[in-house]
Amino acid sequence: MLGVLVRGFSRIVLISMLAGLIGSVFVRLGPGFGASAEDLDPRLSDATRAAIQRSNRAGGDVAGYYAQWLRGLVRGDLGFSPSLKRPIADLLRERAGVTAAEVAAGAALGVAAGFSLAVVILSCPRALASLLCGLGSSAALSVPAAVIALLCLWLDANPLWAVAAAVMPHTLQYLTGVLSASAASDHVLAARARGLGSSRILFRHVVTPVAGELTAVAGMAVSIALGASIPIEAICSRAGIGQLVWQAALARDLPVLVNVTVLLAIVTIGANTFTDVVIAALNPVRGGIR
Amino acid sequence: MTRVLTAVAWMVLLLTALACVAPALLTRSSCDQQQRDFINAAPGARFPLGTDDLGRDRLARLVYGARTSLLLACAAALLATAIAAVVGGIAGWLGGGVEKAALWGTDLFVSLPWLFLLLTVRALLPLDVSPGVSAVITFLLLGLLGWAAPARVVRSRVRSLATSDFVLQARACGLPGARLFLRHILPNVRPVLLAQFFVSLPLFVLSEANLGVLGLGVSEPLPSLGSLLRELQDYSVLSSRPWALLPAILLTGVVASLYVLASRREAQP
Repeated sequence: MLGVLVRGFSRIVLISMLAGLIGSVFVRLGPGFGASAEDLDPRLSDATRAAIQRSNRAGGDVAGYYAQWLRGLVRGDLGFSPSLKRPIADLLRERAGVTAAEVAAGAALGVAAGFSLAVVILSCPRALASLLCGLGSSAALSVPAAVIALLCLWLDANPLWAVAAAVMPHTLQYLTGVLSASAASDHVLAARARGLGSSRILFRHVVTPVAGELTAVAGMAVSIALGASIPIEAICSRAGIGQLVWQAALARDLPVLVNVTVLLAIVTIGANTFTDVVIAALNPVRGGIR
Repeated sequence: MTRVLTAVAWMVLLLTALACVAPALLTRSSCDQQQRDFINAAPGARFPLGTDDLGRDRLARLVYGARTSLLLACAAALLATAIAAVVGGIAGWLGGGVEKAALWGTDLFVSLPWLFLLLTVRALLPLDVSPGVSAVITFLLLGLLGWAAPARVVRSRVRSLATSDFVLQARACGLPGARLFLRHILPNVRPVLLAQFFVSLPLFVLSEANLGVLGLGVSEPLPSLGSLLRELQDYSVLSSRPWALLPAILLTGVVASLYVLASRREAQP
């Protein structure tokens, strides 16, 4: 388990550093780097405009920009948002709570709904179950998160239901596959032959042996919920990270985007590492899923 | 029942394909012609699906929008599958450091939520571009960013083939590496690539729709399924002009049909 933890931690550090580097490359080489709306202000003199451009281009080349970003990161200074005119660390701190609550509750609801439906499908006859699963998950997977958010707005529902609705079909598809495979195994047949009750078979002999696989769904759900939170927060006007990303994208606020990229990489890999640790704890022989 | 479902899915896709190949068969209007005398007209004989707030024929915009989204999504899925074939193929075949580097690269892409990655990279490119260029940029991004997950699948397939008995025998017979790869590995990877293409297609159509609603997809006046959904942001439309929901219904129908056919494909032995 310690190995899984160390591996997970080094993955988080390395991938977030790499995400920062790639973000810096894009920011520095992206068209319009260093330009701002002030360039067009007729009241400014040439000297003032040149000084503003010098300040906007601070950091020089890609390596310089990346080094500057890393130095700031160590001090807890993530830079300044040109479009929102505020320190990025403050923006992230204010909005992280909203998104974290929404993603955690939405992902948990989505997983619970997916699991419940998968159990219902499992207790149906085989052909009907496959049809139900295919129809249900295909229909739900086919609605874009933005349309789910619009429906949520129309129904005046809490956005976390929209996050749950985006997560549910993915978990339903995955869990139905895992539980069906487990239900078709020989020990379940033997348990049935011995006359065990169906709920006892389900929870003791179908669900328990695949506890590791079921835990893995948590990592997947967090990633899906984070992705879905962008259109949902943007459309439902929730002041979270998703809305910040959308506003930054429309305003081409690149420093905000670099920092959010790193933050999301850390959260996603962190969630996956957590599930790996849980799986390793449940099944020490396998040592987690890689 | 499953056969009926598959038949319905095929019918939806064939109708949509007809719209893509020959839109003139379904509508005679142009998608950007504005009829100032028929603003927000209800469905009728002249405009079967009514007109929008600029007096444009909704049916024409739906047909041409479906064409833009589906043809470009096909192109993007083809590009993503090709990149996945190259990256996954090389990584699986060469192994060692190259494989590790490729896995790290795919890890980076896969660790970020897909829509966030798209939104960020789209924002790095100019937003004030012509509608045609915005469509090309949107779908090019889908193709260039959507290769990571398929590349992992291709790598693992190539890896298992590279260590299989028949490849070992071909090596023992003295077949050169390039010939071995092209004649024995690649044909066996083709079904995996085809499956990845069909899995990417609905994902890309949905991603374009999400970007379109957020205003970062194909820009006006060029219609796409995503940009047609923007009208729904004013949700009073749902009660006053419910036929404005048709793009969402068509999008859901097309993507569900693609998923149904992809799952049938996977279920085949």
